[in-house]
Amino acid sequence: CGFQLRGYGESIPALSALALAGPNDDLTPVVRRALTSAGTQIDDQAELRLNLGRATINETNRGLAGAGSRDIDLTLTVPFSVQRQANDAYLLDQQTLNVSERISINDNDLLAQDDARRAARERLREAAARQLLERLRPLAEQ
Amino acid sequence: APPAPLPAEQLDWQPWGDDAPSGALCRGRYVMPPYRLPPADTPGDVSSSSDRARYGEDGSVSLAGEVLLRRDNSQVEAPEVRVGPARESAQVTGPLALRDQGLLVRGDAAEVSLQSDAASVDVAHYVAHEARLRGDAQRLARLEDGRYRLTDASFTTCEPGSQAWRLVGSDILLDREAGFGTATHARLEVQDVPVFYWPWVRFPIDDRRQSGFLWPVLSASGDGLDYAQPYYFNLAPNYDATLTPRFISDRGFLLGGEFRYLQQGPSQQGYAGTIEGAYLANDQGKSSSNPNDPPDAFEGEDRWYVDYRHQGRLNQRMDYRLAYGAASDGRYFDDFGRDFGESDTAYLPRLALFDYSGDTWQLEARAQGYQRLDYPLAERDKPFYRLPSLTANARWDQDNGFYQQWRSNATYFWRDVIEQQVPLREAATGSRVHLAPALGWRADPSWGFLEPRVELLHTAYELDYGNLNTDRDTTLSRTVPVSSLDGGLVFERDLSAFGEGYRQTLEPRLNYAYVPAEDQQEFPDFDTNERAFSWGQLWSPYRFSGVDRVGDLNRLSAGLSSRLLEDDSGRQRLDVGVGQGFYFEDRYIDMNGDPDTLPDRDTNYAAWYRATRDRTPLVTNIDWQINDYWSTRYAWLYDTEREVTERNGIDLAYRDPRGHVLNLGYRWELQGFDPSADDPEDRLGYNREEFDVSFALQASKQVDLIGRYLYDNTNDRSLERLAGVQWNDCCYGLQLVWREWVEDNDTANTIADDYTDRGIFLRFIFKGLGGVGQEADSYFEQAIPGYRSTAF
Amino acid sequence: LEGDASAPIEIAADRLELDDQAGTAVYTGDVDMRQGSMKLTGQQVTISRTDQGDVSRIEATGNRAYIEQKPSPDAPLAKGWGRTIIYHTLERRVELINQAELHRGQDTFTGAKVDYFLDRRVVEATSNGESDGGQDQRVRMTLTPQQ
Repeated sequence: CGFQLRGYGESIPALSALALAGPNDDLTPVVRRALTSAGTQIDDQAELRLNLGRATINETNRGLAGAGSRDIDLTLTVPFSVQRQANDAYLLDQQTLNVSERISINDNDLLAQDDARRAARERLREAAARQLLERLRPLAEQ
Repeated sequence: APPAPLPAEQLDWQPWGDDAPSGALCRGRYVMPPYRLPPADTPGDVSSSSDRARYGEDGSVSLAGEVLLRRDNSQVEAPEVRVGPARESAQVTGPLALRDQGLLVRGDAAEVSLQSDAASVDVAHYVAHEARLRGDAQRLARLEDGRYRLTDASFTTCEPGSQAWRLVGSDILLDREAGFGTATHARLEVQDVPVFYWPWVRFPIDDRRQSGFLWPVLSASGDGLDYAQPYYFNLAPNYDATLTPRFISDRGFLLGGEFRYLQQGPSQQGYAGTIEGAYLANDQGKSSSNPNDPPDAFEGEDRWYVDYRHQGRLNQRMDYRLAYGAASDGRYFDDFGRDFGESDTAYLPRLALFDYSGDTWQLEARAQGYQRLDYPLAERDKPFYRLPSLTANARWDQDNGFYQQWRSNATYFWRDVIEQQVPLREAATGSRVHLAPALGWRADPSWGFLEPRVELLHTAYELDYGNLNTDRDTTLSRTVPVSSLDGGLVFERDLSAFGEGYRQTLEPRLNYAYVPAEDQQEFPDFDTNERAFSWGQLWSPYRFSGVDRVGDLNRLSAGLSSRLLEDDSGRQRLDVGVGQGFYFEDRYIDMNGDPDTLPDRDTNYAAWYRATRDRTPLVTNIDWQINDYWSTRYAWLYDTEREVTERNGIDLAYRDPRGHVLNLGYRWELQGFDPSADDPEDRLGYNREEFDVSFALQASKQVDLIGRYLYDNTNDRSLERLAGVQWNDCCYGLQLVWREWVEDNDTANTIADDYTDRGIFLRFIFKGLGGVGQEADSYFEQAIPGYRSTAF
Repeated sequence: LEGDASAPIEIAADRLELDDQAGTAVYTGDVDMRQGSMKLTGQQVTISRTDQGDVSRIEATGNRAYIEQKPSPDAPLAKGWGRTIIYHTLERRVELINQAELHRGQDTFTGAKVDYFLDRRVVEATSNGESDGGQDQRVRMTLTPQQ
């Protein structure tokens, strides 16, 4: 049915090098690790630069707001852009990436709720980094 | 009283006609016509133009016949002007028009100084074009320093002809440079009906958040009328305060206050914080909206709350947060929450946190506790304090894919409870040291990944059971290895669908996890719960959140997911995943921690089944961005052995950039599915089946409609109904919201003690009379996903 | 000045025509007339005299005739322009007509017609005098407030 192992047969033109400019938050190191493990070298002199905005995670109630145990949606939103370092031309401008996840929490166990939110945030950052790589691949293919 | 206002065309008012900019709320705008006379060559000189001029013997000059006088930026148009011999000022007979930068004053007579900007106009009508202010005054005087003093005057930002509101005062002083005004004997008139009176009031007249008068907040609920009048002091550029006297008809007079401060340091250093609180002496409140409470639960008591938050950054790597919240009782916010968001406050945090994020090491020291706002508050519902909790995490990655991870935490747990009234495993206080070194190897080529990983969880306790005599051990430790093997491949093909080019991936994944069973019967429960099953649990070796329990596990999970990525942008349009796990051994460890006995099938079937089932639920996830407006999410957990849906959630969302939002949701959860509720009181007592509809509609430029309906199909009752209209006009805004919701009294297992609460919430916004963009009630943005309330 | 009215009149011009019957003398061509501190120039100046021979009216026309006079010993020169300037000697009144302009002290007047009463130092300017070509001749002033 036409499926091939990704990169089998033709060499995957992953971005060989990329400069990364991001705020000192928890997402930037995760993106750095995802890029390096996908074979992209983080190099300030690279031809292209990925600019990460400040990631925000906001919460919306799904079930009944006041109920003890309820579902909440956590959505990570991060603006980003890609520029050519030579002339600051924007290849990808004012893009945003949204990743969300639903977890259930219980007000009667605030300490566990604390850990549940922290674990969900970590998963959201990993998912955001993975989708960010997908958004960068078309650049490599040009 | 101020003179009657002039018609619109005399106030430089230009209706938009058909070229109104989009979203314009006002039907026109003030346009300053060009000056009719050029200024004199030398600044300070007065140039004039008239039909007749006379230079009298006494040296006075009198001009008549459509006189135009121009001095630097101010211009006078009048039938007659006379300048005394001393040339200090000009007497102008009306009807006159005095113009200055962005200001027009019409009047019957005026005296204009020729040496300074001072002027005074009788029977004046004024317009400030930029700030869209207008008004009338028996006398308007512009003082030397540029301020305006108006006697018997009115002030409004409404379009000419609209009497939506105006502020009338006997002595109004406008200071445009500082951006605020003061008024004595001031009264607020809505459609010429006096609504409120102040002996003295100070109000901002431009966008800068200025001291003065914020919007009155009016709401009606079970406690009768509730009128709050916030009063804002902009004490300095980096700190300000709000004082909010509030009158509640059934309860009495409550004084609230908030103080905010901000300090920006160099290179992102700096700190910011707020401290807010409120106090009511001897609450007259008889009725309580919660029928389960004794009627006069808090009558005669003082009710108060205080909430301090502070955060700061010392340098690039170190920031810190402080918080201290306390309330007189658990029902404070139910009775006094100023908006729906606040009345749902479940706890007040107490925290001192300091964290350092290095490249390899992340360190965090925190002292943390909560005041749980619940009435009555059961002993077992009181959360533990972490006094303190020290965390050190690190990770080292080698190029060959090997990595080492170190996670460690030392915490002293404490809480003040009657040990006899809580389960034995929650009766102890004490310290816990948890070390979690891990070794792994991860290969991450673009066509897949493989990750074997071994982690050693070592936890040690020093416990104190207080005056509870028990033979339980007080020094305990446990070391459990957690090993897992995770791997997957990524297949890809090009696919054109719905007329666009996509890359479709096919990603099979396998995950094996093994954790031996260790005896944890005498282990405490500080922060641990058994996790409900989910897509994430397929790939995670941890069956419990927190650290006090390590669940035994011998499970192999298999999953297949496929993603559709747009060729040109790489944006993920569709993500479908199916997965299931196969248990090779029963799971003996639950919250009781006994490695040898399983839950009893007859008395506790749900726990028994969960421990002995051979397969996990079949998990199906769909996340589909159908087009720019519609998106849908679907999560389905199906038990293949009992052939029953254990949990199901479908959401359909519509987002339109113009501000329209629609959310449709369905949720089903089988009773007994979620093991995380350790306290039987919190376990679901029925199969939860809910329909959730919420919308926000920008009906017109002025009108926003919001609504939400949450229906509990199992018990045939509506859990929440909310309807709101927001009228946003040129010079005022109105927010009217009605909400009716079920309070479950924090007992999810029974609905007998549930009760319905309701409230109406009305807020006036007088534009120009208060800082613009006061944050709207955060509740609506939480209740209606995708809705961003318009800042007025 | 005080003695201007009785000071002798000196006139320089290209040509002179006398019309005894009307009692007028018409000087044309760069006429420059002085009387005490007063000076009058123009293309054509017509001096009319009363039966007793006293000068009753001096009319000057030109592409803007010019007149200046020292109102008082310490005051700065008063200067006036106009397409037609009529000096009514007996009334001590100067009439500037059509593109009239008067500089008096630090103030300047322009307009269609300006009347300047020498002794009373009163000035009256109007805009509806005869204006050629319908050009807007409203009265314009520049005043310097006392600092």
